Amino acid sequence: MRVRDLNRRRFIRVAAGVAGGMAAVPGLIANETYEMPFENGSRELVRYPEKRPLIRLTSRPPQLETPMAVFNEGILTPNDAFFVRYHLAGSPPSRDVLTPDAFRLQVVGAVRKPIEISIADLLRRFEVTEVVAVNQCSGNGRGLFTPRVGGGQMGNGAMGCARWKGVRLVDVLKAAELEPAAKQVLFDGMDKPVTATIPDFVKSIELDQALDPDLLLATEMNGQPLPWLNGFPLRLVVPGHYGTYWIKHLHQITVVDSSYKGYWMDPAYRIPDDPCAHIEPGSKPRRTVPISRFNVRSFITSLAEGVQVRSGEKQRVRGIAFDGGSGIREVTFSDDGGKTWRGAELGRSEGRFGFREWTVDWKPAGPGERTLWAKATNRLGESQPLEALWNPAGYMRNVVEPVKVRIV
Amino acid sequence: MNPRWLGILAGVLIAAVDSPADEWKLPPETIALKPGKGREVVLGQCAMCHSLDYITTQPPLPKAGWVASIEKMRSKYGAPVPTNSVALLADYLTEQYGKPAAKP
Ligand code: HEC
Repeated sequence: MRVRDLNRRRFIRVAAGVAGGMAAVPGLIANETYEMPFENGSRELVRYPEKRPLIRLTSRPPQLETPMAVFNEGILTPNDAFFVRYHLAGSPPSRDVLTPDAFRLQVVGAVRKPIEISIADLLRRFEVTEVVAVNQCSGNGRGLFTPRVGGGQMGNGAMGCARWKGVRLVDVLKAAELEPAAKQVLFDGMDKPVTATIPDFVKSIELDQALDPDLLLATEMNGQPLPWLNGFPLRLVVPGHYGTYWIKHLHQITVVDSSYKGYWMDPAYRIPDDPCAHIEPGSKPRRTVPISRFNVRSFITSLAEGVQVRSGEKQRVRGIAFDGGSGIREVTFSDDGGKTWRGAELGRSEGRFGFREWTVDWKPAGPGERTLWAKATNRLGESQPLEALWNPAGYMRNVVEPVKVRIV
Repeated sequence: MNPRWLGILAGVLIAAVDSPADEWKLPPETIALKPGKGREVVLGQCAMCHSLDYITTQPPLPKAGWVASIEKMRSKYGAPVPTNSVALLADYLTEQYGKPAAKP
């Protein structure tokens, strides 16, 4: 099913509702499918509220992935295509508890002046600012791990880049007046577990990091209120860091004087304590640490796996690159499986946390199959491996991703 | 048609178009488990906290992988799976969604 137009969609629902005497639900008509490039990777494309049809991994709670072609639309990922990742089946929280009248943000714990504030007052009381930043799921690309690992089996579409607008976390924490014993800050959203035995999704951040002016409490993305499925009306934005920290429907910030030991900090979302989060496939890490910053990644977006291109016809190959916040220094491109590399031209920078567009002229010489590679390097000199690194949780994939094309 | 009925029908249509609640409905779950021995037990034990696509989208795990997954559900999330159903669940999952051991 592909029904883009809202009026048409409404019409179909109205007609179905009247004719069938039932509540018509978007998505009831058979969904198209999308094939991931790994075993057991057949997925439905399903339309959710405020979203175009996206790749559905799970339905309760919703986990939706962005089709790779979207990343060729520009360096800001449209809100209606932005990926969705929830953990707890009571998600998203119902709209009723998120309305301006009902919703309050609380700042409590080791503070002298606890805060309870509406979104409108938050935006009135604190300076409003913006950042362009990538959000990426820790397990983005997990389905591509070899050997395969358990967990959410996503391709590379659990990422997106948006212009986030809101207030600085540090300003709000300062207004609450931290007590000297403050050590960490905990973040909790309104999505709740469906049984008392499932740990609530709470994340902690060390105090010095929480005071970094880059962190925002965001109410908008790309000039619009946050979509329901991306955390309406308020979410934490932690530029350069994995999505696990970007708590959605954020309603409680608790300052604590100890180290938080909750399930979603330990044992969940941990990586091997090794500079590249890598261990021998099949083995177990000796020591683990919480996952934190993105490593360097890049993607070719203008050519999809398996497409045909004409020999001798020059074209501009395009893609994106990003890292954990030092900024991209260089992208190189190879059309011969890594034997020779050429520098790509970098597009305009929207700040060190965003997708950076790159382009390169390419004249396919064929016929035959060619493997195209793009490889990015950041300002710290960190780059991408040619052979995939491995860890048992399937986090932080950043191998150079080949795109095979057919020259005719 | 009786004009009164027309009026009511128009009212129904307008209500349907303007109903904001309808805008905020999630599409239904569509996943159906493959038939096989133990399917009913999986339906009974594994659909309480999440949709079954959590299971069906996993890579083909060997039996030890499914046993570990069930144990994780019990120990980390408090899944009320009786000890004596673990083997039946793991057999079904390995047979239908896993990597059955090579026959000797
Ligand atoms: C008491 C609640 C509960 C029950 C019952 C339950 N699960 Fe889960 N399961 C969870 C939670 C919570 C997650 C993590 C969800 C997330 O991170 O998105 C999960 C995730 C999973 C995953 C994804 C991989 C992973 O480990 O995160 C698989 C596979 C899975 N469950 C299988 C099962 C099977 C098989 C059963 C039946 C034996 C079962 N679950 C019953 C709570 C439960």
